Amino acid sequence: MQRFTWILGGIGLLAVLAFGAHAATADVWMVQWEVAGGVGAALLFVSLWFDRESIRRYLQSRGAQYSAMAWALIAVAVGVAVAANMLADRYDHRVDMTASQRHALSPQTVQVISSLDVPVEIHAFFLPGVLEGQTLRSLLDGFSEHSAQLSVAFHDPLTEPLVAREFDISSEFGTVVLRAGDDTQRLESRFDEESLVNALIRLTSGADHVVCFTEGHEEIDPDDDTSAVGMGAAVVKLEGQNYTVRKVFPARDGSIPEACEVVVVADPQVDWLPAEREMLATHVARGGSALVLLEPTRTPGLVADLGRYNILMGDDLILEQNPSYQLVGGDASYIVLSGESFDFHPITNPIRGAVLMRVARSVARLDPEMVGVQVQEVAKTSAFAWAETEYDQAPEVTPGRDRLGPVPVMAVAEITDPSIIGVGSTRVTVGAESSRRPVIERSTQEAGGADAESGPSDAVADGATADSDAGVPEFTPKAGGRVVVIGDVDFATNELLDQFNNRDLLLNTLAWMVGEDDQVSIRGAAGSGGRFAMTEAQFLIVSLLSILIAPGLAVMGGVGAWRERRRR
Amino acid sequence: MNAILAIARRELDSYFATPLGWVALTGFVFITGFFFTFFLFQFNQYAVSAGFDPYGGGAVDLNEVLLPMFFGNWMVVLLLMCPAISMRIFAEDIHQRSFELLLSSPVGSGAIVLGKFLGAMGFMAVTFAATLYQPAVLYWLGAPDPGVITGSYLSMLLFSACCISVGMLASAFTRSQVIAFMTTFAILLVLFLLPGLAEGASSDWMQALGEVGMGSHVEDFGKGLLHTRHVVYFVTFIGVCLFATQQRVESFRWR
Repeated sequence: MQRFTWILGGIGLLAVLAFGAHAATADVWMVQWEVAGGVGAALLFVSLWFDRESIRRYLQSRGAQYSAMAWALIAVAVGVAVAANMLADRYDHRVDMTASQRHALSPQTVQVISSLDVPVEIHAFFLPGVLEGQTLRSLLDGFSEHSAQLSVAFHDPLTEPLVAREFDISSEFGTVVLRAGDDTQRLESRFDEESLVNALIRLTSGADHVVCFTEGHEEIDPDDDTSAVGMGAAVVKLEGQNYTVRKVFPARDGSIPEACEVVVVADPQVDWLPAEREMLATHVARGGSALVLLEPTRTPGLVADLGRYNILMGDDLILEQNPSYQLVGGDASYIVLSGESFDFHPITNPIRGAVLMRVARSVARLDPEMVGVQVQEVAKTSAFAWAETEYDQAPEVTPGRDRLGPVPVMAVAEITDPSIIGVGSTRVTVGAESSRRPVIERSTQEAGGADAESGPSDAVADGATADSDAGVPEFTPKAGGRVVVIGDVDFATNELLDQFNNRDLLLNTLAWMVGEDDQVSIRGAAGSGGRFAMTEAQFLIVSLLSILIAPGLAVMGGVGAWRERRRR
Repeated sequence: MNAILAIARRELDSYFATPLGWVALTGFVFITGFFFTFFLFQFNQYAVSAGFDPYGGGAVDLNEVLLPMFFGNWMVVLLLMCPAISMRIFAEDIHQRSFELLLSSPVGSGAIVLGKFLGAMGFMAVTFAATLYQPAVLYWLGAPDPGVITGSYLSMLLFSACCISVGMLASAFTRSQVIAFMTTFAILLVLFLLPGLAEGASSDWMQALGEVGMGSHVEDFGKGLLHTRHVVYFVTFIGVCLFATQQRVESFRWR
């Protein structure tokens, strides 16, 4: 009998181990497994009972004592290792070794997360093993490090149907729900950093900002997200950051709706009517903001009207001569703004990279003495650029006529005294072709004490004149209106928006204009590419090197070692 | 310390004094070179076709597509190579009865284990160094992130260290190199597949068991991310295996 007890013991041990594995993994214990475990334990006991003499002899031997000690030490080592791993898992710290810090959260993300002042729960619903879920887990680990207000929970919708029902989860491809109090935001398609931050902003900011794109003058289409010249990509970014985008047609609507916090004038081809320009001025005078993006040669009437905001837009084309500020492969009309190009301003301070513009015109402060409006030139070209006024001829610097670098391309104006804008009191005269310079004449009596000498008076006006005598509806003037003028629109189009920091310049500008200063930063980095295309010759070289030369060298090394041994 | 280095040097020399070391080195360089060429070609095709898609540019990044795919296949090769390297570490000595000589020398069992481990790792380092032309080619063709490449190599070195330490433990329990090889391969295969098995499981126990597997700890290194928990995992895993091996070697003294 004793010869076969080890077989009983082995079967018993296997049954006990199987029961243990079942107990560890199953949610509900089954009777069959309990019976198997019991029988296994009984067999093990019987086996040990029959072998008790030999076990006793072994345990009394020196080898058994050493062995027991060794196993005990190993068990202690395993215990220490498990404890160390549990602690390391709990207090995990990660270091991004990549040169471009591709896994580090963007400054804007950190800013948004760290400024959370209400508890936010993030519930992620993914089936086990889904790649998006794993990537998201890593991303949210980084989120949690920056705020104690943020809690993250992952759920399997199949094994946690009650939680899934609570959040109304129906998608098989993953859903993320962000909850702050009674408010929720859902993500069902994209789960990247930008989408999450946008959802957080929408959830916690509590306010929608309305941005109105003007239409009716052949402006850039904000709905066009397919062609290179559209601004659909910018609108997608804006809508992701709690902005509501609308279109307005001032001439048809009769006014710019008060709901519009920012009016975007995106490179109109047809000039604005004087009445429309008054509507824009009224909007600014009642505390609204306007972003004007104009390419060279566009809308002289609107350009001239910018003078009332103390901004002078040159009728010129900026050409860059410094190779360090040119785009490789592009001509002199491509301008790269970076580093010292930017003046100290909330819009440009966070930008550490570059902004790429193309075919731009100058935008400068008109009158440094003017009170009631503070203008700052926030972006300039290098000192080697110039603003070519005779752009229909061969480019050549003409001293005295052309503005020499650094040429300002972006100016911001803050209205501290709305009366300075002179709504309903402006006569706008389009400058002569020879001077190409807008002229503003402003009467003083309606301007409410505004500086009558604002605007250039040295230019000759011999062109068409338009009286802005449109009926201006009554409104309450309010300080704080902001006007930003940029002498380029290409940087904000679908083609160039994701190049360099163009997106940051546009979104920072709009965030500053609506007063969302915590959104002014650098957005999540887009993939840096890292693609290449091999030529046939390159592929041949790589193939030879990898499959023939490198292994061949290893073979030669082996043969050399073998011959060396034989020689000895 | 000198004893450890002397043993390590002797162990390293022994790899290059036998055909096994050269065959392993050549095989590894050839197989990874083949994978490298194959994946490079595939990536190139993918990148060229994506170049015509204005919205597909972001996804074609060699740091995110090519390198993880490439180094993921290294692990499969290492699953076979490491048992082959480690199977002879103790089994050969036990079989040839030269182990008693080593034990009779005034060197502690810890120093023996550590020295042999460092020798084997030295061989793995030389093998990896023979593949450094591959990142050089990537720099020639494109712009790989040095952090991703460093992380990938570091993860492969740590993965190899785990495999070698398991192989040493198995080798210390038998005089047969074949048994040592098969045992090591079986253990490593289970450890390699554990994370995948645990993914589909719902119980916490299985999830915890998945964490014991090596694959999930390698992944982040390949992205250029250094997590302290992964470093602790590798250090403790290797430490426990080497400690158990040392206990096993020590047991030969009192037998």
